[in-house]
Amino acid sequence: MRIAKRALGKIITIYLTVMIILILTAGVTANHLLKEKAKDLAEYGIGMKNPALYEQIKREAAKEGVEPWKYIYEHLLLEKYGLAKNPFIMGIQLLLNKGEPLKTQIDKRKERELSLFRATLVTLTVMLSSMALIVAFGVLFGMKLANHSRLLEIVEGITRFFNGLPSWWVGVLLIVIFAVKLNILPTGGLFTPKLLHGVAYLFDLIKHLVLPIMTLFLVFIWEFMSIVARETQKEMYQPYIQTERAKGVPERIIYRKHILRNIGIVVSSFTAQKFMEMFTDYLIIDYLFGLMGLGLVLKNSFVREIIPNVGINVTFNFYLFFATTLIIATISFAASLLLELLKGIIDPRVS
Amino acid sequence: MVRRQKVGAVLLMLFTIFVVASYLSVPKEKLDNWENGVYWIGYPKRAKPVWLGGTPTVKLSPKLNWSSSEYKEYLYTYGHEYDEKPNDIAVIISHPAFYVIDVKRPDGILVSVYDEMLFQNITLNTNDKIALSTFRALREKFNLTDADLGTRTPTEILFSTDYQFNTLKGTYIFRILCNCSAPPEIIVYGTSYGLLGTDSYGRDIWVGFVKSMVNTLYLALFTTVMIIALGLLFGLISGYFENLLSSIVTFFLEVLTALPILPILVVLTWVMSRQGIGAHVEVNPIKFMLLVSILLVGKFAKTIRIMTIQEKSKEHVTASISLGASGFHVIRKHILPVVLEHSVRYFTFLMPRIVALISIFGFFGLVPGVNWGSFVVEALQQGALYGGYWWWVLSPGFAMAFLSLGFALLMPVDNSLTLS
Repeated sequence: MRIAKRALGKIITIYLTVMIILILTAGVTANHLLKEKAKDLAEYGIGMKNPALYEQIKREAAKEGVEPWKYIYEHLLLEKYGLAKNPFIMGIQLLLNKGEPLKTQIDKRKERELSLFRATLVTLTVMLSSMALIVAFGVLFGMKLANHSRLLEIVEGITRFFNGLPSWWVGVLLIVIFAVKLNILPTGGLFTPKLLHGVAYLFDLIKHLVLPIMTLFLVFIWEFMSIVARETQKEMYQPYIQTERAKGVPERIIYRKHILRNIGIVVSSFTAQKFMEMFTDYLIIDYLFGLMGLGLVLKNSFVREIIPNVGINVTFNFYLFFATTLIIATISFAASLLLELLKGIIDPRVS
Repeated sequence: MVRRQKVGAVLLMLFTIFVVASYLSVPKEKLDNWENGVYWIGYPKRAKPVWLGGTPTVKLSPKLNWSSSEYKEYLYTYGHEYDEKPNDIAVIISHPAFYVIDVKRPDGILVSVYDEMLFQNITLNTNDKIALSTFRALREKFNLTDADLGTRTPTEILFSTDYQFNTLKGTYIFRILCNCSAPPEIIVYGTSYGLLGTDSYGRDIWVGFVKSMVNTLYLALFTTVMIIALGLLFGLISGYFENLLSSIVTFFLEVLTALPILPILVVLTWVMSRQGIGAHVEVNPIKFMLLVSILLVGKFAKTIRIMTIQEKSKEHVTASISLGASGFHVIRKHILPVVLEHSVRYFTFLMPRIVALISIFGFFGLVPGVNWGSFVVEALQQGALYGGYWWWVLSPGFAMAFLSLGFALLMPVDNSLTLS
């Protein structure tokens, strides 16, 4: 029942490396953003508003042998924000929330909208309930499918078919059918803008979550089913199962006690793997259905706005970027740990 | 080849023919101007596809009614027999001149549309003066309120029987008096246009569809090839050799599969990009493809790694090694054939997946060029989902579904290896 020490060490090392890559990514992005800002300042900001200062900067820059924008970047921006030039160190500084003035102003309304706690909660609720549904249906029907190879081939075909479909498209299709044409389910959001209490509140919430969960379910169920069926087929003709059959043990018990336990390891690894893959699809589904989960946070962490007559304004909100990626990484980390633990329980030989 | 595979091959062939034919069906000028809003001004706005019915677009022929040394008067007759009203009416002029335009409706009401200098082509719905004069002409007859000025288009008012806005059928006579040398053209735009209709800027959606299809497929094809190539390289290194490099590669592959791909891809693509003309991000496609393939290579490389380890422990390979074969020889002669066979199978699995993924990344508007993701985002922004323009949102999906089905039937993929 213990987790193997080596596996644990490996998972932790991977998690730490993922953290380092995230920090580096944020550092590189913030660095790029600052450089763009410096170029902008050199060309339009200081150059036009304060020519005297710009001349002085030009002289200083010539003394150091660099271009004016580089001088502004190094001496004005980095020093002002107290950030290091090295992207990795800058990333750490950003993670520790040093570059406060760099942080774009999120107005109060937005901040309430982007509550991280709620975003995580929504994300976990939707993803875990879809995963639970997928596992339950997948195991139940997958084991049945093992005896019908013709049907299994069809399901495998459907797996391939859904593999080439983007999840948002399945979501759009469901919205068109259930929300627009039939008008029985809401198109998006989490609640109806109405004050509800108790059971009505819960019912309303569930009604809003049906379509997103159904989308994820439809995208992922087929592969799960065929994997379970294939694994069951491998197990079914093993000598020990034949022995059990010969002993007259009912099929139901053979399935539950032997086959399920033996395919358990493969199925749980597969579940963990799919759960991590699901994040990419979830982020889009979240944005599409307006669930205000991590998809919205991610969308807000990097905003490229087109402002008429001004140009394009890019805001990189590293606070939200870190929040999204670290939450995803931590959930994945927890899932891998759980998987190792589960493997140990299912098959003590593993640990 | 089983029958199923034949069907798959035929589907893929049909898809290829479809891509080539649709690319050839659109003039290059239109493809280049897809993002140029000004180019599409003369097209009907928010038209339906032709195959959904609706009124067609008609070009009216001028008839010289009267002329003096300076001024000429032309008459255009248009018989409207449909339940739906036309979408818009455009007047195409040959050179700037003084124009007086009016319309005699079937019920005998004369609506004055325009009388002033005209410097460029106009359409009824996009000109404020026309909107006001049409509104004034029919205001008392129809009991129109000020709100109708904002909510109804001039064309809609012009073709209405009464304040309930039913369509008035019959013959409409357009009269244009001008000091022009050549007669102007009048085009009555129907409610349907092209294979996929038009959007609210008047852009022919079919053009956008074709452009994004070609771009998406191009990106997806090369990204898939890159993933296969990188995956083979990394997988063989980490599976065959047992040294520091191979353990680093193995660890690197584990990390790759644990990374949250989407957020990293979004910001790094922007870092690589350059601000293009207009509001467009210019990303070097090669760099983008390399980034995507590195982020996605983990899973495939791990499969190759496991296959390599399995092959290496087989007897004929160990025999070959003990006879003194070099690592390169063993990989080339014994391992590569097996691994390549799997790669070809995996290609048919990966290609539609990457098409789907590229359209997901397009949601953030940072994939180079127009693609199916940005195509759909634009549709969503223009309210296609709730406005009932389902053909617009769903069309890329149908194409993707077709492609996916073709590949699925062509070659089954053994998934058991990806699990271990």
